[in-house]
Amino acid sequence: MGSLHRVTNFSAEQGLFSAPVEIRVAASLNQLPILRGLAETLVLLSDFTLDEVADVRLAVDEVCSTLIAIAAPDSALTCEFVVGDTELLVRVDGVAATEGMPDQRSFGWHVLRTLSDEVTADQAGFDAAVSGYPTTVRFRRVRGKA
Amino acid sequence: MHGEDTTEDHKPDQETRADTVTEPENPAEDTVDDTETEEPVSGYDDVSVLFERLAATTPGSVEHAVARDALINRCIPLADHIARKFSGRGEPFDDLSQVARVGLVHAVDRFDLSRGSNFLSFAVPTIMGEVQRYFRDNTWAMRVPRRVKETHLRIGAAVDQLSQRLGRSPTAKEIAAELEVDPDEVTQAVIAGNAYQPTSIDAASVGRDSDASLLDTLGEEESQFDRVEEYIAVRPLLAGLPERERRILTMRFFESMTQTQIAAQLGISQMHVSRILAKTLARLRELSERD
Repeated sequence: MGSLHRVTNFSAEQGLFSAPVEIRVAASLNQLPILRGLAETLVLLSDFTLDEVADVRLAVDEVCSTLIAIAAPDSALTCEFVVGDTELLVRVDGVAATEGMPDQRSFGWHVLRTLSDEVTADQAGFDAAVSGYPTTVRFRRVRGKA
Repeated sequence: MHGEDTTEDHKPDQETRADTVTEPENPAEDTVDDTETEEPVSGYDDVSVLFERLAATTPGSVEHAVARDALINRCIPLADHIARKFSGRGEPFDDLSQVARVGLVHAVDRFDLSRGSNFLSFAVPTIMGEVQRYFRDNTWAMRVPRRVKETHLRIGAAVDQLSQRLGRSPTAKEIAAELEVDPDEVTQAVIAGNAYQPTSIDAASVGRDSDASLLDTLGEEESQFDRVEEYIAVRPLLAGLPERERRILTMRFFESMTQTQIAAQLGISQMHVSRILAKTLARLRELSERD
């Protein structure tokens, strides 16, 4: 009974989310609600403030939309969330159809910089296995600043 | 309320209109009473004949279906008239008309000729009830359990109080402690809050009390953003937004205000700010992709 109780207690007790949470979906706009829903749930349960939760949700939306917009056909999007004591780390991996990173002078990128404490993008060379350019956007949101 | 318990399964698909409607700030209960008093309907004398014809047919028969269709078609102007009463509240007339016609179908199916009452005096409140239900329920983009809705409403007040007390927005756990409910319930309600239909950014936000103060704050600070490269790039897009959306976007992304601070300044809830931002950013992405 004791162990069952532990399993079903979803409250954000320390350490519960220290292991990364990962989700993989088709790189399609209709998957966005799933991604932001997961992000929101996870961050709410991890004792971030409502402002932080709302910002993370917007940031996940922005990153994923950006990667979906440049995604190779039939490629996938993987989101990884690591909740730490002091910050949240989000990594989104996609596959770009053509070489080229998300435009870091765009308004969308400005939005991301505002919503996060740090945001970076990386792209690898053409990968025949995924028929595109593996592209990763990472952002960090520090706890307790808003 | 008319038909409250029996029309549950006839609600139109609400998700499809999430992008086109405005959240009604006043549920449709205040200004609709005049429908019955100003004789919106005349010349429906033939309806009772149609009902007699319907009553003479066997339910399930072709004749019954034909008579029923004739009745419903005959009364469509009545449904549309009632729908028009509710237009101007931010809901597209076509949607209201659709809902009103659903109400009409209910009225036709439920009217009992043998009771000797007038069909119109039965149909008008039935159709109005259907439209009112639509307003009451459709501010949520999807069905949410009542308890979650109620928690969501209580959360609004708790968030305001806690934000003042803490000087920042609260966590779900803090809200749960304040309301003495389970944190999971707060989590659910906050997430459900995002299903609350966002104010359309297509619709002009007029006639709201908060707009006066909003308009007062518009324009004065905009010149300082000219040095922000991104602002210049996005300005044509921002220019196409309604003032309220542009103002909120500007406050968050060019003045670095938190959502709670924006909410406090504009006198709306943080969750409302959050919804408007999400919607507006999605819209901007859509617009910039079109270029």
